[in-house]
Amino acid sequence: MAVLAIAFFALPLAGLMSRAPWSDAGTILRSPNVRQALRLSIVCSLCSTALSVVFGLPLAWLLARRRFIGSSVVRALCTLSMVLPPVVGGVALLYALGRRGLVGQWLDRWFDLQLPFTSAGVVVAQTFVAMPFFVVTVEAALRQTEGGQDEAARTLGASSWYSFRRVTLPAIRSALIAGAVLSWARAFGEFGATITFAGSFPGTTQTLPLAVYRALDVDPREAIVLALLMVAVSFAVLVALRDRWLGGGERAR
Amino acid sequence: MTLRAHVVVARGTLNLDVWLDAAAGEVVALLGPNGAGKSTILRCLAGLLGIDRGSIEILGSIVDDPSAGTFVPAEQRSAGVMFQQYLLFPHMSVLENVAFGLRARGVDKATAHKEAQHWLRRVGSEEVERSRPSALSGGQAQRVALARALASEPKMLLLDEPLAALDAATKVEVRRELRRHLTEFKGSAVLVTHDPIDAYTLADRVVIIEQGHVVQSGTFTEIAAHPRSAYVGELVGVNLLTGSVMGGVFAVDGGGTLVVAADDIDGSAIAVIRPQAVSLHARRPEGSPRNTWVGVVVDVDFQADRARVRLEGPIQLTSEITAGSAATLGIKVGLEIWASVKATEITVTLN
Repeated sequence: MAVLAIAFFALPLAGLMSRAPWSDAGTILRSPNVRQALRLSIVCSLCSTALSVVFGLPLAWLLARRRFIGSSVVRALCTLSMVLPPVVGGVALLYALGRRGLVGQWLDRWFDLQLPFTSAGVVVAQTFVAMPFFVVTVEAALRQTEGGQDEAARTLGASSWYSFRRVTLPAIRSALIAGAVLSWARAFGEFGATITFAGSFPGTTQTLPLAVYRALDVDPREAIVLALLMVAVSFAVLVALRDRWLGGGERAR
Repeated sequence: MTLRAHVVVARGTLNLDVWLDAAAGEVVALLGPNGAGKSTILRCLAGLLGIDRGSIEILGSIVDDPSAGTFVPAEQRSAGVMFQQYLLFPHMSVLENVAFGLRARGVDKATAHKEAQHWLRRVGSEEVERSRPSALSGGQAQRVALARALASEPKMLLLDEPLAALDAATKVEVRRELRRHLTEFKGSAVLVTHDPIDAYTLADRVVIIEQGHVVQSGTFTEIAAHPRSAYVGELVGVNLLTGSVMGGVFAVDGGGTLVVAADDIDGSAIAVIRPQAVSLHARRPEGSPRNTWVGVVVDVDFQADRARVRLEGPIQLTSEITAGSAATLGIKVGLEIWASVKATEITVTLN
């Protein structure tokens, strides 16, 4: 059964490789369109990972360490986008942050700020679907290390902040990295929310997955090359980090 | 008093209402069964848990008083806490663990490490300063935890079951060291334990806690002589004699010897004798008891169908007999009577 499962995951990859136009791959990869999409994908996914960490860490801490009324509702709300179809997320973002949206109209009126169909919009859409992966991973780790060490630090005269930095964060280091990688991977591959909220404009909002989708219509050979490029980048990151942080990391330390 | 507290807390099924005080240099043991609320009291004193009612005063300043809205958090209480599971920080070296309190208070790294080394030397653990806590034995971890609590020079020391996690062999040695450090400590210390021997050997005063309330307090000897309830009698009403053991003979401090079954240990020790194991006789007993002597009854305490008889003489201890035999023997204060204990009824632990 395990072998079947492995085959199930390997087969599509083999399918891509079998149809890849290896001779033209270099030319396609060097085309400005592709380079633009790759650069945009990397920059936006890194930005959204950064946002996921900056906002997700306090959120994970709140969910793990504070008891408050409705905390389970808040947790469900904050992880909803993990199970929601991304397109639905994109539509929802449009009605919230779009030019006529709930908040978007004020952003537009007061700050002349429009998020939809901009690179910033891409980052917002990606963060919306990717942050829960970071929050869930880190919250679980925070729960595991619950209480004791932090209390020990406080009796030794450490402020909550000092204890958080020196005791709690090092204790959940692997989870922080795992969570960041997971949310980065999710952002890097994000499609539905991005295309709905930010559109697909080459150079500003057309990330690699969107470029693959467009290329399928125009030039399937380009689509295959782009798809393999995404596979290569994601695979490299997962392999590089897996052994150290996601799996055997605990023992190695 | 450097510590004066009235702790009232309701948590789940536990309703805690305890008065507690401790003078400078005094070691107070909270003794009681698991779930009696001892650790909760310690958490309140440390500032990890707020009290519902009452007040806690340390060195003349109120640190917790819900009626006045005062609550000084743990990090500002300067209470050194040693947790039952030690809770050393796993990602730091032993040295960094001990220096943590000083670093948290803004002391620079070099000074803090020097001070930490000083404390590690004092507890005899300087050779493990580079190790990670996971590499330490139970005894070493206990010493490091003590050094960490002492290094930030606390006003008060709070120890939660400091010896419970140790095996019997290590316990003897660590207990002896702990006693020395407690003696040297200038502030007041509160110690939570369920082991009467810990309370007897480490504390100046014992407070017995049962179901969230103080049932009795005083020196261990006082409580052992006059336990106020059958439960307290069970818990501390044992005869504890300090002395030294050699070749199966226990020499009691202050005179008297007892033949004991333990002939494989030598040195400073404590003999534990249950009052029920001390029998009283009108005439010199014959047969197996190796330890017989004549004592004088100085006190009789009747509890339901039992009588606790306090004897003086070559060896001072308490005997518990049925009220019936007390009547038959005509027990009364001033009576001279034969006492005997079988060697196998005496438990000897090194001290």
